[in-house]
Amino acid sequence: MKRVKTLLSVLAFCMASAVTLMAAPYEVVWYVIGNGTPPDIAAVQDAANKYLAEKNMDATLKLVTFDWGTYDGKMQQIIASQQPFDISFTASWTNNFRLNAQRGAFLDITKLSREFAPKTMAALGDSFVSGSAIAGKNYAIPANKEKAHNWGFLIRKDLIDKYKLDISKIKKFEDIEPLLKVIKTNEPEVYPLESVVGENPARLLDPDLFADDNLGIGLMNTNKSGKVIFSPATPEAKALYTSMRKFYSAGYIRKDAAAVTDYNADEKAGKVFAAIKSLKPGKDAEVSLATGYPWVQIDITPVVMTNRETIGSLQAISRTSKNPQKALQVLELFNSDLYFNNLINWGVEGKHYVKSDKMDATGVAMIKAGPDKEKYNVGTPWMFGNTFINYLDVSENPKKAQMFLDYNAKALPLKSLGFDFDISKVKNEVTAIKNVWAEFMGGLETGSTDPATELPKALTKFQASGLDKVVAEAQKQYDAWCVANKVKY
Amino acid sequence: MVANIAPPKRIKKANWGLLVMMVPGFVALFAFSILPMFGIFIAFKNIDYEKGLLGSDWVGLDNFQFFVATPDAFVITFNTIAYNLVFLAVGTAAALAVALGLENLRAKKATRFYQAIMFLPYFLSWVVVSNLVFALLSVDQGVFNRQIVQPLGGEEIYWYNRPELWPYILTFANLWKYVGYTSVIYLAAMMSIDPGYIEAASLEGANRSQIVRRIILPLISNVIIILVLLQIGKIFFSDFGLFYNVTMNMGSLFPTTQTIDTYVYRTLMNMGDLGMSSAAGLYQSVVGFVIVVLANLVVKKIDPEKSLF
Repeated sequence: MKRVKTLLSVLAFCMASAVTLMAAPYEVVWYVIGNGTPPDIAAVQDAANKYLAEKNMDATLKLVTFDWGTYDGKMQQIIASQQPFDISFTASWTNNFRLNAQRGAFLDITKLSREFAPKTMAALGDSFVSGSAIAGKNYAIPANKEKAHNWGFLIRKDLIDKYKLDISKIKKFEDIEPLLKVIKTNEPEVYPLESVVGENPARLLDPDLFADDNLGIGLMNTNKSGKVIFSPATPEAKALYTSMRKFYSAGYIRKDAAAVTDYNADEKAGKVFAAIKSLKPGKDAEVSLATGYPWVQIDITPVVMTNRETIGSLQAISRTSKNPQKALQVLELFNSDLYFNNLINWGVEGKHYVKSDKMDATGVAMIKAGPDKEKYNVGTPWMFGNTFINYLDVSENPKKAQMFLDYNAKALPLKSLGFDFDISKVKNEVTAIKNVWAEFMGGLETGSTDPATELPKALTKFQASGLDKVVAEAQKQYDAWCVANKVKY
Repeated sequence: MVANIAPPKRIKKANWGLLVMMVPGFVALFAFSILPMFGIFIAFKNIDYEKGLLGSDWVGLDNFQFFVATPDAFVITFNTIAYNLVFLAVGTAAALAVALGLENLRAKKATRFYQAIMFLPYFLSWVVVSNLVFALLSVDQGVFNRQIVQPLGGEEIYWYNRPELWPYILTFANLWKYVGYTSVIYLAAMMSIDPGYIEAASLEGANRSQIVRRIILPLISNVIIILVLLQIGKIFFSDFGLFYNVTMNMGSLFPTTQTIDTYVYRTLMNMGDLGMSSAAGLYQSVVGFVIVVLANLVVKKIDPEKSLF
């Protein structure tokens, strides 16, 4: 009898706790990429949860940040082990959006997003939303930001001023050489040119890639031809690797470049003079805020609108989410609510930032660093979502939003927008090619190995891995897509 | 053998205590080695999370193909086996030598001190070791190039661009990490030898090398054979941390450092494909199993008493 009683009381306890669990707000877990976990994350989350409660959202938010180098690996493991979470940042360049969508790791939110995040979807516009679809279905919500890109230099302004350097003559990559030489002679602790694996001047080639960065298959970004290319095999690539080798040999690049993947540490430590970056209006001001050093930007490649933008920065809902509707509602609030958006982006007012008396073009006060800025300085508004409602820092251009619109208008939309390459038929070849890529391209792109001997070796090995078959399959799929979408060259 | 003699009741009771001590080990074995065997079917499926693990399509042996599709298949397999054989030979010899040295020491406190020093690296993760190695060998900042080569006026060595040097570095790193651990096992086996044998031999005028060759090694040969057989079972598995972290995942070192495990890991990271990585794991296990059985057969032929099973 006693036993039955104990059993009953245990049962009653279980049921009671189950009821409280059901009544508790749903915790939305959101994985993002960044400089690691900010020290003041708890304060920001508390403020966010208080606001969510005020808004009767019946949800709490948990932000988990992994740093730039580990995010991809961590997310692969989380997804493969089917751990429950709600939202994750995804892109063509990390936490592979195409593969995860094709494999069903992300939820098809074509309908759900229009129902639970209508304002967000309307602000993005139909063409951009459909550009981010995989085989006609939406698996993620793109960030609302500039819709084009180009590549060019970011150069440290304080060093330019110190040595009275002339940057007006820099029109192409090689023009930077005399400046690098000055820095090399006078600033022994600074790397004149940033070049590490994954973040280096090879980005200037800017092919219109059909799949992952480390597959290199796509078109030239000029809209002149629909012929599929393999980027490292082009004469442009060879010329660039040769220039990189020259700079490396002259000592302008850190010697262990091919062993380094984290570029952030050097930038934040003030050890980089010039870097090739993906540009947009006001990029220099953004990076200046994030790194604490002043930068200026110089455009090198033309402005293009490609699949890189439509799937360059998105938030996907996980298949393992227990409440995708709630997750979408939180994203909707994030993308439409001035307070909530800026709380996540800039932190708590008065603590991490303070409002200034200067207004931006829309009449919203611009902000300055608060006393605790360094304790919550994520500096990645382009990653979180709608950048058009971000507060602007006083150092930024008050007309930033308008500059984005002008920039979009100036861009050349590539004809391949919306095409995605389904690699399932050539999976084995793609695996082999990516492995060869890892073996050779880090060295070639950073200038650490000599293209005169290593490039031919690499190309031979790419061939042996079945490159021709992959190119032919890509060409076949693209030609069929062109016919179906009436695209002509 | 011993098992054929019915033990008296008192010993049976003692066994009960030993059996209880076995439980945690068995639970771990069950949880980490036997339970996951259900997952073998993943190797034959094209995993689609939408359809779930069980509902995904069967694809036969498709997942196994990627392994032979790479032009590096031979190099990868060769590296895995060759490194393991070298590690096995060098590691066993070094551990035995260390154990013999320690066994011969009179001062017991000194023995413990040396043991602790050599055991320490065993507790360091490969990530820590990789950073130690990088601090030594980095071209710019490395202790080796900055403190030794440059002051002597020599030309810096680009360690991370010279694959031909890495078999030595990795063998050394592996030895450094594991020699303490293995030597403890051998030392324990040597301690269990009846000192009477050795004393008798000394009285008869045998020198140290004769004692080692004629008494110690034959008496611990069982332990050596068991350890070697267990290692041989893992000949198709490489120590992932060693080959991935210590080389800093450097592409230029692939020709001499890429092994089955690092290739499979890179594939999973690149392709996010559960089926392909499960297939590789299954392949390694099956081949490893076959090799253990074969090696055991060979041992059985030579000396049935010393075989594993």
